[in-house]
Amino acid sequence: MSSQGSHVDLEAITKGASGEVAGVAYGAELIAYADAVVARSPDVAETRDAVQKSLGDAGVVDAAAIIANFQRMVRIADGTGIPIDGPLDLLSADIRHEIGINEFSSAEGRGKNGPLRRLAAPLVRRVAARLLRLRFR
Amino acid sequence: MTSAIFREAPYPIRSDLDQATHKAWEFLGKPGNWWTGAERAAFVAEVRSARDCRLCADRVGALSPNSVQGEHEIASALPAVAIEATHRLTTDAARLSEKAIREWNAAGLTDEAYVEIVSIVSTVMGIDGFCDALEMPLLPGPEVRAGEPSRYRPAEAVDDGAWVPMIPSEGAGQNEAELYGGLPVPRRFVPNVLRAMSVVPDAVRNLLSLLGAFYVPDVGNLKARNSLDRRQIELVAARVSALNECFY
Repeated sequence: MSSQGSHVDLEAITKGASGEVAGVAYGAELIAYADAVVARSPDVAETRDAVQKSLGDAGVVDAAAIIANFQRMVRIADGTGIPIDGPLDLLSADIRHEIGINEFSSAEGRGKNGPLRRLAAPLVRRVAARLLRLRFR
Repeated sequence: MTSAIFREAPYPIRSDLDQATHKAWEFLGKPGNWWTGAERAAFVAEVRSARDCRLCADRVGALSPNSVQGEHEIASALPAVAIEATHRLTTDAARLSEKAIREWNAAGLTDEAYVEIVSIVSTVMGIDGFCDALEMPLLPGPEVRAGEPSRYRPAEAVDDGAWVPMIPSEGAGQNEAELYGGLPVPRRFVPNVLRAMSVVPDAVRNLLSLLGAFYVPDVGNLKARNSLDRRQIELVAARVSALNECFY
C-alpha cells in the first residue's frame, strides 16, 4: 500500500516479518518483540534486546506499553461486540480484505465487506486525503 | 531511575506510565458499579489463573470452544458465570459471540455487571502484559477497599449496535458530560472502542487514563512520542491486534 508517497508493507501485520518491514524503521524487530510477548515465549528477552539496540531504553518501554495497551483494547472490542466505526469501515474495506483481517474469528457476522465497498475504498481514501489536505492548509 | 510501582523495571519507566498504572491498580481494588472491591480483586486473581488454565488452553486449540467441556482452574469464589466470562475474555476473546453474552445474561450476569468484568479483565491484561514485556514480576493483588457497589447505570446507555448498551457520541447526560470531552473535535466523533464500556462510565474514565500513558499522550490528535514514530506505533498496535485475531 502507498501512503503519502511511500510504500508500507501491511502484510507484515497479519503474516509477521521474516526480514525488513518496508516503510517502517526497525519494523521487523518490533514485530518479533510483539510476537514474543503475546505468545509469552522464551524469546521475549532476546527480541527486547534487539529493540533496545535499535531504539534505546525509551523505545523498549514505549513498545512494551503499546503491546500492553493493545492486549487490553482487543478484549474491550471483542468482549463488547462493537462494530467497526462507519468512516473507518468504508476507508479500509479493501485493505482488510487483502491482508486477511476478514478471516479472523471475531469478524464473523460483523463485517460489511462486499465487493462494492472494496472497490470504492481506494477512491474514498483519495478524496478523504485531499479534503484533509485542504482543511489543514 | 526506578519508580514506585515498577520497582523491578530493567529500564527507566516514564513517571506518567507509573502514575497511570498506580491509579488503575487502586481502581481495581475499589467498589465498582456492580461488584465490590473484594470481588474486583478476585477477578484480578481469576485473570491470572485463566492465563494458565488447562481447560482454556484446550478450548483455544479446539475448532469450537463449546466442544470442550471441563472445569476451569479457578482462583476465587466468584459466581460460575462470572468465572466463565473472565476466562473467555482473557484467553479467547476473539471467538466470543452475542449468543454467549445472552446465555450469560440468562444465567444471571447482567450486561452492566459483564461490562465491568470486561473493564477489569482488559485492565489486568494490559498491566500484566507490560510486566511480561519487560519481564518484571506481576504486581501484587490490588488493595481491597470496603464498600458497596454504586449500582449506577446511566439512563442514556442504549442499544447502539454493540452487544452491550452504550452512550451515544452526543448522548451523554449530566453525570457523564465530561466522558467524551477530551476526544477529537470538531465533529465529536467518538470511536466505538471508547464508547464500548460506557454503560459503566468509570470503566471509560479508567480506559482513557491509561490510554494516554500506554499509547499516545494526546488521544485527541494522536501525536507520537519521540522514541517511536507514528508508523512504528501503529505497526505494533496492529500486529498485537492481529495476533489476537481482533477484527476491530
